[in-house]
Amino acid sequence: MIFDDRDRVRVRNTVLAVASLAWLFLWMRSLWSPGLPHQHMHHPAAGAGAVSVAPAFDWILMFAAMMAPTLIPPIQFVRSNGLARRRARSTWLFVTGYTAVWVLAGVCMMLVVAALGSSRLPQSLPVGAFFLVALIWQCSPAKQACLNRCHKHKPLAAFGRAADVDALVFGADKGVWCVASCWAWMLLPMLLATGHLWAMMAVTILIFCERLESPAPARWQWRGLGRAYRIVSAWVRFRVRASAAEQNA
Amino acid sequence: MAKYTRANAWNNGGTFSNNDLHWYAIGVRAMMNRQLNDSASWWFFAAIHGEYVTPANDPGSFPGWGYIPGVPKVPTTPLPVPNVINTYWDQCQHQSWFFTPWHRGYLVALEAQLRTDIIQAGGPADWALPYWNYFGPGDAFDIPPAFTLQDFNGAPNPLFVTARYGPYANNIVFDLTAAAIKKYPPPPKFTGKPITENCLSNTVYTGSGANTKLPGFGGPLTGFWHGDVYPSGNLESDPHNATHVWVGGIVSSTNWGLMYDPGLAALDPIFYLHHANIDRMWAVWNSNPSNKNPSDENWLKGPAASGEREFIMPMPNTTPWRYSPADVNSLNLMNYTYDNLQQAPSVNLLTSRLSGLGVAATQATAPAAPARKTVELVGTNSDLLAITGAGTSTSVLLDDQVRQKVVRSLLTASQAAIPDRIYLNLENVRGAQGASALSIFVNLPEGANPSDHPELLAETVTLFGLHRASLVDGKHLGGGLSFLVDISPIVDLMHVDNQLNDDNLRVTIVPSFPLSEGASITVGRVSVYREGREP
Repeated sequence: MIFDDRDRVRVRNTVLAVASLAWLFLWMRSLWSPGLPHQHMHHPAAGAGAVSVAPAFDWILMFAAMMAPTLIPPIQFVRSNGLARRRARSTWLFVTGYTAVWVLAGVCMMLVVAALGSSRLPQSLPVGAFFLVALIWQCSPAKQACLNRCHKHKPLAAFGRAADVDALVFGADKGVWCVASCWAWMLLPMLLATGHLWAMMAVTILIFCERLESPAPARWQWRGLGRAYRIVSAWVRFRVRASAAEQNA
Repeated sequence: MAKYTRANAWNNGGTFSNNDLHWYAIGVRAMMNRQLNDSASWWFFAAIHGEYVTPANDPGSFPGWGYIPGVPKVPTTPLPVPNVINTYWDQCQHQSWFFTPWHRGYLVALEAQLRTDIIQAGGPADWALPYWNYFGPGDAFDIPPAFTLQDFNGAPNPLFVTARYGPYANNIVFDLTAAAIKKYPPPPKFTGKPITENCLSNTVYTGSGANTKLPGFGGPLTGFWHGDVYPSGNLESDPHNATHVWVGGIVSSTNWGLMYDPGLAALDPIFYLHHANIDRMWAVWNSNPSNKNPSDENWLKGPAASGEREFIMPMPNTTPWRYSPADVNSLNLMNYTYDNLQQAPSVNLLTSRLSGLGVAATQATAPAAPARKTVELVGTNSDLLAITGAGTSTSVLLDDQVRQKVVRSLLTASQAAIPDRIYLNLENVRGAQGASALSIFVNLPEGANPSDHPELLAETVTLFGLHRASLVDGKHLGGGLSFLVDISPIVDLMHVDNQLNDDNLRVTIVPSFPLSEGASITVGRVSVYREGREP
């Protein structure tokens, strides 16, 4: 791959800014309007802090906050692969394809939440069941296969309609494998009565960390936080060594 | 102060009269006599670089370690316990700015183990690993004769391996230098450009400059994310990768030399002499005070800082050595040196470019790394390209507006206004082994014989690691190899000849030997990029 370094940095900063704004909005609304109705996205038992007036808007916000950081590498790839003057257009097409898949997935998830809500089951039952499903999915070979596909890039056309179609399809393809990888964890916060945003943050960290892991053979194993743990422990180790060196000096 | 001095393997004619080689053979034999799961064995060390012996990597046929023809007979059991495998094996760093430091530590560990065995056998306490400088005088491009003898001290020679076929796959083993081609004229159907020391003229470790093409002398910055396939650094590409494939050679799509493949290479004792020379070249490059290794903490701390495995090597009679690039950043930090750190003649690429463009230029006035460079796509071909037989051509459609930027930069080129550098980018090069290398011709007329147009041969890219990089369930998800070829000299020629006004650029890719019927190597996309000042 060959990249324009300045454009890479610009993409990273912009995407992180979008994700930060989405989080800021969610938290501010949660703190300032705790009593808003919640009839759309969450389990009927969901209470204060779980807010939603327009489900599509809420879903997009949730999706932007949680998934945007994982889009930095593919957006950088799309922009580097195409003509510089088409970068904005290709980026929007990619994001459109990706978002479209997640919106469809969001509709399905909201239907599941609504169905569970109308079943009059106690809230702890579906939450517990989906937590278990999410844990099993997290360890499954199928999850690894999806993660591997999330990492995979292939060259895109550069000219004319073919370039537009490729950017859109690449976005949709990334969306499909991303939904397939993350659906269980994305569903879980929607079922919670309280602590909805905290659960979203925990899931965001998990999703971001598991993308840091190298592609691997598809097999049963716990995955997700290993590399993040290694980064933190390496940071601590380097700090300890540095302070020991300072003392020796 | 260095305790050990690594010397030229060609001393005393490169035979066993050279004490370094004599004791090397004794040390290698001692290590080969140990079991696969012994961290002091030859086989364990080879697997540290890469292997096809664990269930996850053994294909059940060649290149599986149980299917290697001839000698050495490589053991496939007993495997170490999984935790040991996960800690030590398959560590090698390629297509990365960690290429040089990881391999430096790897050589230090192997050398320490060999020295221990050599001392136990009554050898010199200051023994050091010799290097093979294929660019040396005379016939230094030939593999030292000690590696070609079948016997040593009345027993099989541990330095000899059967699967070492040479550039022309005829068991004459040498490195493909310009001097070697005079001694060994290429067979009629062979196409390839000799290896060079050009990387020593680079001035930038990671990145580009007036005398440095991307991705830089030491390799591309590789960080957290996966999925993108990066090209090798300039030292890694030429001469490192090239020497691997030319020395190993390829006989067929199911039989290639050990050196050809990262999962086999370190089984061949010549591997470590080749890498000692690469390490020496890094030291030579660093001996120029203006050539700096990265000061970026992400490089100095190594991949461990970004959550990857830390570099770790078994050491004889002591605890394992965990190291980072900061620990091996300079020869001054090491316990060894080389007997020859002489600089190669430097080439001022900008001056020669400008004179080719008809611009008067004096020497060495270009900034090492001009700031604020734009990198952008100029054009691309339309479909996946399958290289078959004696070669395949494709047409790269150039965008008119970006092409005009290139033309403007060439028209206004001067020492103050460095012309655009033009790259051909080959992405997702995949396939079964079928050739050692691909020669890239630019603007070759249709129907023309490539060998009649050496001036249009931009570069010969070598396919070290093609098999591994093409494995769909491998670390790189079958993304294949990636190459960045600097085609600026040919584009300059086209500009001077007023041929840069066409919207199509013809690219012809010729395998080192014609591919057999049914075999193909595919290129996901062939594209052209410019790197220049104009945004």
